[in-house]
Amino acid sequence: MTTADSHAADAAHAHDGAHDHGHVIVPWQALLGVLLVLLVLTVATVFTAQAEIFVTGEWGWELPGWLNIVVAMSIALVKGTLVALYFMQLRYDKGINALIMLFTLFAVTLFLLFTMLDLGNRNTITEWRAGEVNPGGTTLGSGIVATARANYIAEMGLTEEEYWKKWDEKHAGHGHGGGHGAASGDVSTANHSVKGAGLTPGLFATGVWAEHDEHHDEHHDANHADGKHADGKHGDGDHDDGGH
Amino acid sequence: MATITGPNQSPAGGPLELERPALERWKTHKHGHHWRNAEDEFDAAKIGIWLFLSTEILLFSGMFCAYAVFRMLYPESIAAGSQYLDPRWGGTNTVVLLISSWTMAMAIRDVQLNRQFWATVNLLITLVCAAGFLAIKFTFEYIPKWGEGKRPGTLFSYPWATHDHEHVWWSIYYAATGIHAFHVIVGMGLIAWLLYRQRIRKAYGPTHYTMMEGVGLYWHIVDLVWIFLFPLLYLVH
Repeated sequence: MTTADSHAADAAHAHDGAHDHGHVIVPWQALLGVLLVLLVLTVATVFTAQAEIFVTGEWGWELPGWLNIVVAMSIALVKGTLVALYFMQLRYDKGINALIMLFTLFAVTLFLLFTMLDLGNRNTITEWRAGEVNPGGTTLGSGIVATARANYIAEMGLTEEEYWKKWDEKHAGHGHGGGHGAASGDVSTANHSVKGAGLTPGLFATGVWAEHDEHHDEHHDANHADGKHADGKHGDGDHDDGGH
Repeated sequence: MATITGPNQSPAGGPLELERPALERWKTHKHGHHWRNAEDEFDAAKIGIWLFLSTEILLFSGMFCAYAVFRMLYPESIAAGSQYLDPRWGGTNTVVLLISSWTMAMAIRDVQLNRQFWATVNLLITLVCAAGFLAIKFTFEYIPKWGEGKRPGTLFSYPWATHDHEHVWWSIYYAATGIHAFHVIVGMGLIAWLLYRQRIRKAYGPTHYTMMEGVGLYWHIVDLVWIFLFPLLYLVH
């Protein structure tokens, strides 16, 4: 590049520098407004999740299984769009940047869609094609959770009964959604995925929700189908865990 | 001081010390010679950042996909695992990141308007929020959960699990939030670097703030990912 070119470039730059930049300065009112909407939506998404739990546990409504994820993701999508349009200025920006973003989202959609299609239809594949997956995905012989349990029992020198008694005490007053299904046939395993109906089945069988759950006994039985212990008293504990 | 040379030198040869109390580097920025003008340089840099951000989205989409797969396979374990987390802390962290995203956008606005003091203030708030996010994450989640044996994969040793695949939940949780937290740490480094260049070097102003724009976009994508991670991890049932 010659000196003359360089000077020409400098002149052009100086001209640009006189602020004919075309860069949008987003009004502070817009930025503050977007922040407030985002905060309100954050409260809304937490509130709807709690409300879903409330109407299921308290009133016994059977909410469809997709509701939780669809509501949460819809709110997140609105929030994400606001961030992209205003904080990231896509609304004011050159179209190419929005195009890059949209194409990426298209790729992500394909990625998720085909994975879900595959997984959602595993049940329709004949057994011999489906193959076997080692439950828990471990080389330890048994599942990782079972191994952790066995290790603890060995370490503390407990008997099986003593352990399960403690387990029951531990989970009596907690909304951890435990106490169901670990060994029953109606839960998903590595080789068999069960379609969700309502909220996660049996999630409210224990703890604070137990007294509202009509199907308490059913879940209780299902849980102990492995015969490890038969006298759990789920849900009879104190209700100190109203929130999370 | 008479020996000072440079684009800011007064052509009239007046008392330079008074005319130029501090070198404002954003005024002297020259675009690369392979660009027609500063505008092209800025736009190209921004496209580059957006391409990088698209790879970031693809990186996180792998984790979202893993989450979807395991949620479909083991809905009970995922729901049970989620209930070990406190949505109040997750919600607080969401608010903290949203505010930091806002102050980042405001810092860029301040620089565009050459309000250097407020740009510094907003960058500092952004940095403090990022640190607060990590502090909450480690104090109330990573450290106590890990200590209880709620660990990913074969490291799992929590004896009171209620479902057979809770270790899978913790694998997803640590992978997703861990990579996100790593992005927050990187973002803190970038923002600290911006603060240094903005405050000490006076590198950014109305005609040149490319780096701030780039770091800002990166910081918003960190916020954006958390907007999706928060409900997926904390509000599952």
